[in-house]
Amino acid sequence: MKNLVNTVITQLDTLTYPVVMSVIRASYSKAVPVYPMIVVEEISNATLMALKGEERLSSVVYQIDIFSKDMFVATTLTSGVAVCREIATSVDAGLNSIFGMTRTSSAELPDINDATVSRLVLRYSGILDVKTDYMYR
Amino acid sequence: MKELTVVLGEEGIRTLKSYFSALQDSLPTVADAVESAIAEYGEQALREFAPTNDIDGNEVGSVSIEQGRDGLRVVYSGSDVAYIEFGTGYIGQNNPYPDEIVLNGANWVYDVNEHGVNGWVYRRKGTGELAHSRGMKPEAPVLKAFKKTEKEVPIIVAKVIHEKLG
Repeated sequence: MKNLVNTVITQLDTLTYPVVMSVIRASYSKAVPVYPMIVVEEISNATLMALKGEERLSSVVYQIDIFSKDMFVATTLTSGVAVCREIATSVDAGLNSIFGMTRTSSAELPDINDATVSRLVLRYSGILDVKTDYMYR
Repeated sequence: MKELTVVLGEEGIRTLKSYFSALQDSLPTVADAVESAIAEYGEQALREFAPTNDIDGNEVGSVSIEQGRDGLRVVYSGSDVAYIEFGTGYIGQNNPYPDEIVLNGANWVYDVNEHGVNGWVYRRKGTGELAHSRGMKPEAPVLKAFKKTEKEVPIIVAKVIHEKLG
């Protein structure tokens, strides 16, 4: 079983974003959140194929949560929702080109508790060959 | 597997033409039956994975089949189902103390996890009783139901075609 959370975080750290990312991290960290923030979580990791008792293909799903407040992008005051969407564009390109994953859903969630924080959830799935690290769609 | 026996010749060709024409005419009905069967399976799968009791005070949703623009769709609806599906994330306000909720009427349920692994206290919807949470991870019932249904689709399609066309 291979978990890609740390690898995804490392790769997302190397991408270029329209705003300066405050933090990219795994979920439910002890650290105080700072915005904009990306949180990576593994939602599902199931054996798809095993050969001679060893797992070969895993069906994996990762969830990328993007959080932001309203902020200046260059010199323009931009809403948190728009910032999340712009960050999502970079994340999406990265997950597709680096990991070969498929985006299976994208949802903007209403935040009734803290209207100053916007949240955009992306989900990616793929079939990982745990021996070669190839990702199949 | 359906078998069709014809005598080679004009009559046989007419029989085959007629057979395939009837087959073609029945395709929309078969497609509708396949769609219904997949939707029903998906609905059942979602009912199986959707929580039946509230989680951290999030109210359970309801599962139904609706007619969408492009066909039937399985719907998971309710005020809190988005949080059940995607988790609570890092949202909310800062004060974790029940006294604050009572005294100041704070109306938040989840906070921003600034309290680390200690979690926080919130008031359950409905009962109003105090409860403790370390945040809700994504339950993903829709994703689980989708994956289960996706696996079953070829079997459902084969079964319906067998039932309808023999």
